[in-house]
Amino acid sequence: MRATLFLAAFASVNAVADSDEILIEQLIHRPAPASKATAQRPAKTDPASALLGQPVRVRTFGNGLYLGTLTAVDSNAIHLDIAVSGQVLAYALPRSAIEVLEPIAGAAP
Amino acid sequence: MIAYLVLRIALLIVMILAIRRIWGASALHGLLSLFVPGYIFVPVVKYWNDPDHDVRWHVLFLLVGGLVAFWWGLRLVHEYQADVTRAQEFQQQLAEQGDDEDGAADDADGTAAPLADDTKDAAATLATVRQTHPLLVATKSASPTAPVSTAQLPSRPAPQAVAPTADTKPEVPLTFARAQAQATVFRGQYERPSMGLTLSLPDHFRALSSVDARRIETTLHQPTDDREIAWVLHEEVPLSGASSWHMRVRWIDDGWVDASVPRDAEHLLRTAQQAAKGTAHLAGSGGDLLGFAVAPSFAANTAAWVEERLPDGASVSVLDCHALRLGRKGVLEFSVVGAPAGSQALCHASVRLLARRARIDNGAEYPQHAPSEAAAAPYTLEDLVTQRR
Repeated sequence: MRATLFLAAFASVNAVADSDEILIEQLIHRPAPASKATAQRPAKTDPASALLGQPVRVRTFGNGLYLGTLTAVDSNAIHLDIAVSGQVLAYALPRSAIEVLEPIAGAAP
Repeated sequence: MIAYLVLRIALLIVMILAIRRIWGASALHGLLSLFVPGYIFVPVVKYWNDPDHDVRWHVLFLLVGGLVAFWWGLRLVHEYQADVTRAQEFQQQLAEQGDDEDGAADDADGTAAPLADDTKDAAATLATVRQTHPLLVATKSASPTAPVSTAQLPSRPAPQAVAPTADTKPEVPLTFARAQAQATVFRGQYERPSMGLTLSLPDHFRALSSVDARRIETTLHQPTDDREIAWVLHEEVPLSGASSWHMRVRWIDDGWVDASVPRDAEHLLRTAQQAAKGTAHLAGSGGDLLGFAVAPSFAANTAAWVEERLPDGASVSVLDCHALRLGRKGVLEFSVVGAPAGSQALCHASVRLLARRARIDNGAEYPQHAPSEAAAAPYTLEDLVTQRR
């Protein structure tokens, strides 16, 4: 029984350790999905619009992080001004990638 | 492989335990069970109700475990044969690239032709990655109203031949494809004994030595990197082509690095975006940091993250993927530089996997506090992640 438990534990540890390797092979070999036409949703009030002009924090699926001032929103993307080393870069993030969009508390617009 | 050996050892131990129990009842049954195939079922039946010498559970485990071990062994053999075949195909592919390039160079008076045929597979692979991971792909632009398609991703400089001098005997120029074809490919493990470093290469990954990597860099007119110790590449992603990528492995031997740093991603991002240019210790695309496509994560003396950068003069962003493995006297760096937007999941998993599998020998693993005999680096882990200095 102990040997069986040991084997099961060992196998589970091995499985976790190789999860990245499995992921890599899946990403390399995954077939391209068929392109789908994007349906246009009827226009309605966009909650992101309320944050226009404010400093925002954007977290993306996959643990990404972007900071900037929200300058524009549309149905496909949000647009940020990102301050980097004394200059401002315009940048657009696809809405499908965004997990959380929130204002940065206490930051000046 | 190790799990398979453990299973075989467990089966052996259970077999010995079973024989020992049978031997306690009858030495003859024990001997016959040991040497006569199938005889072990006789004591199973005979001692079925004898709590001191019953071996039915042992035999059941041996039967099930034996079947599993047999199936596992077959699978390992097939995997090994597939690996050998793939390695041969990989070598053949490299050699064919060299032959094709040589022919093109002859026809064009020493100017190498791009490896168009060889880039198709790589382009298709990365196109697949982009389509399956559309994150941050299509809308990076210099102007919010003018998104740039990923189809306009900047191409890497085409491989070019080194022109022979006019007053000397014409020599065969070292071209990208020739340097690539002449490179020695390592699989399984890549060791640098003088540094006490061992890279355990996952299946489907190959390594090139620093010497071969520098030869290839020379043909691409890229500056050589004294800290580079190897390249690691996936066997299905060729080195040539606009969509190709590879992992640079570097050893930063400035000493023990303090890892007791703030690990808040937002703080790190703000610090990194205000860092002065040209001070980075890590391989990278330069330019400006737009954000973290994957925020830094820290675990077991490793750190891994993905930066989205806008290189100087570029109109579309690229990804720099980094993983650091801290050692007693330095830092082992794994970086994919200039990966196309949208491929962060692939490159992040690749650098993280290699960093986790790297081994630093000779007691050179990372201690949490500065060792007395080793010098401390003039920067911290936070400085490396933020590329502040």
